Amino acid sequence: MLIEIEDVSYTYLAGSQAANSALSKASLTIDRGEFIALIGPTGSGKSTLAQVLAGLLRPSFGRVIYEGSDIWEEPKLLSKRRSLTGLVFQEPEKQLFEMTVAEDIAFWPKNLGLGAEEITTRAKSALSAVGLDYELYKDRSPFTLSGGEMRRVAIAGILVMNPKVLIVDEPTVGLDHRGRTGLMDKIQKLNQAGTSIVFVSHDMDTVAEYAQRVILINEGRIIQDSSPREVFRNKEMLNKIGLEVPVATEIGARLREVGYHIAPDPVSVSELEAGILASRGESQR
Amino acid sequence: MSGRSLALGQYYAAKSPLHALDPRVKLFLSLTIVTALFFVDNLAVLVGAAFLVPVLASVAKVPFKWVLKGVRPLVFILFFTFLIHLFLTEGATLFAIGPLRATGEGLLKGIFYSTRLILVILFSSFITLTTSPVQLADAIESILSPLKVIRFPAHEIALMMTIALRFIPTLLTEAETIMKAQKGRGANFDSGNILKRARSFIPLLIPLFISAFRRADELALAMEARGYAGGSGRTRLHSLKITPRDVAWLFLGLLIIFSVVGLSWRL
Ligand SMILES: Nc1ncnc2c1ncn2[C@@H]1O[C@H](COP(=O)(O)OP(=O)(O)OP(=O)(O)O)[C@@H](O)[C@H]1O
Ligand SMILES: [Mg+2]
Repeated sequence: MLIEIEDVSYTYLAGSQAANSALSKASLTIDRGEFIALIGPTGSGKSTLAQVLAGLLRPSFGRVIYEGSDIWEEPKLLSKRRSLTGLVFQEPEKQLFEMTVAEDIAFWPKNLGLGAEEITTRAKSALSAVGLDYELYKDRSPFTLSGGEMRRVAIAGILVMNPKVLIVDEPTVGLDHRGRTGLMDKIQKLNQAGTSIVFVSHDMDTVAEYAQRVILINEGRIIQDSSPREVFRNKEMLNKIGLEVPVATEIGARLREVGYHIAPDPVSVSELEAGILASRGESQR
Repeated sequence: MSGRSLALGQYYAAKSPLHALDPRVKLFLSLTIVTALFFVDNLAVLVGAAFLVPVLASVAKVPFKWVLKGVRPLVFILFFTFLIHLFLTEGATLFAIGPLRATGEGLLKGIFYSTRLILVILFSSFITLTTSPVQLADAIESILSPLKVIRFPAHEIALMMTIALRFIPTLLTEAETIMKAQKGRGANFDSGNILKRARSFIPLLIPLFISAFRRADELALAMEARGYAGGSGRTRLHSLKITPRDVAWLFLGLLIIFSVVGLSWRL
């Protein structure tokens, strides 16, 4: 088990007039190689949970355990332990600050005191993991890049840590279709290479396409933690808290209503396609 | 702002007659109170006036504890004031610490001056407790506006204050996020020598400035696009108007203040 959190609660501005309980009694575990989607309506606590998982927010109650040890028990080891996880914040391009792309990506390895050669190797592979060529980009100023490129560079600045768990908070917001699928495919490649992914998203179609496990959170509580199929089966409940089901699930249900024999609950477009083809084959026979 | 706003200053949102009072009247009354407090030279009257604080708090529907919070940052100064008077006033010795002699007169004087200081703080804090910063900026613009004839930029100053106040919480939230993000990349903001520590803020400050400049740019464009062309000829949605109720409160306030001062001179 890579990460385990137990009964974690978090309150913003605790003790003040504006105290805001953003997370209550959340428990979950993350294993090697998982691809987890974290979904929930706006303000439900997804980003808060992501920051707790990444060891950046100390929970008001509860424990955060990385590979068996409680990370908040010994503050001295904290920054070292944190590198187990990498968190890509919402709009990470806002955190770029160095003069060149190469230097910005080198921020983490420099903080850890790695050697120049090691830094270059890592930076190269981090940039290529997000689909950018090191030689072409290394000397450019991050502020002259396009929005999509900036985001990729910012993500590379996290990947350079080789985190075992990569947490990405709404990585595709504001990207066009190509940028979105391009980025998601890169993330999936990392996952296939063994990195666990926690993927925060509002976009149910993307969730259905990539995730193996879905954690549904509402008003700071984890209300479901299961396969995408099982979560999206519950359309009524999702609609009630303000979420949609994937388009494929919606169309599958409609087609079944009008007499097609679609295998139950497709979640992704490819599943829907297979279902429709199978159903046609049946009726032609 | 997604409903998330920082507790800025000590403003306490509530519906009370004091909150509804015209901010200019509030400013005027509290200036009068502070001035009056300096004319009271009788400890008994001062202590009596102290009882008005919880009364005012309950009228304003602000928890008394919240009001007292305003004194906390000044505890050191209060204590210092008290000690200076205690030890540096001529009179009959109470006790001595080394060369320092505490006197009976000093004790009384110390209590008197610290009480006065506490009251000045408490009474004037009711302005910030019951007036939102934006309302306060409006009041200041209105008070300064006669100076516009001598080309004093009253409107611009008030607008700058309002915008700054509006964006302080936004910038703080953003600074917090960037700080967390850089910590996640191994940044260390709180160790090492001074030079190292100052350098460690670069990854925080640069993104913060970039975003502040971008925001300022966008705001200017948005204001222009919506027809903003400076202060002259501009009307407002919530214009400040003195109502009969404001006048009543003004007179009630002045009456109380003058009776307290008068009482202290009689005694
Ligand atoms: N820095 C902060 N200070 C105070 N309250 C906060 C802060 N950050 C978040 N909150 C509050 O905590 C709750 C959960 O916020 P969070 O950002 O985790 O939601 P989210 O699920 O990520 O929402 P979104 O989908 O809009 O990104 C919200 O009510 C939010 O207003
Ligand atoms: Mg969020």
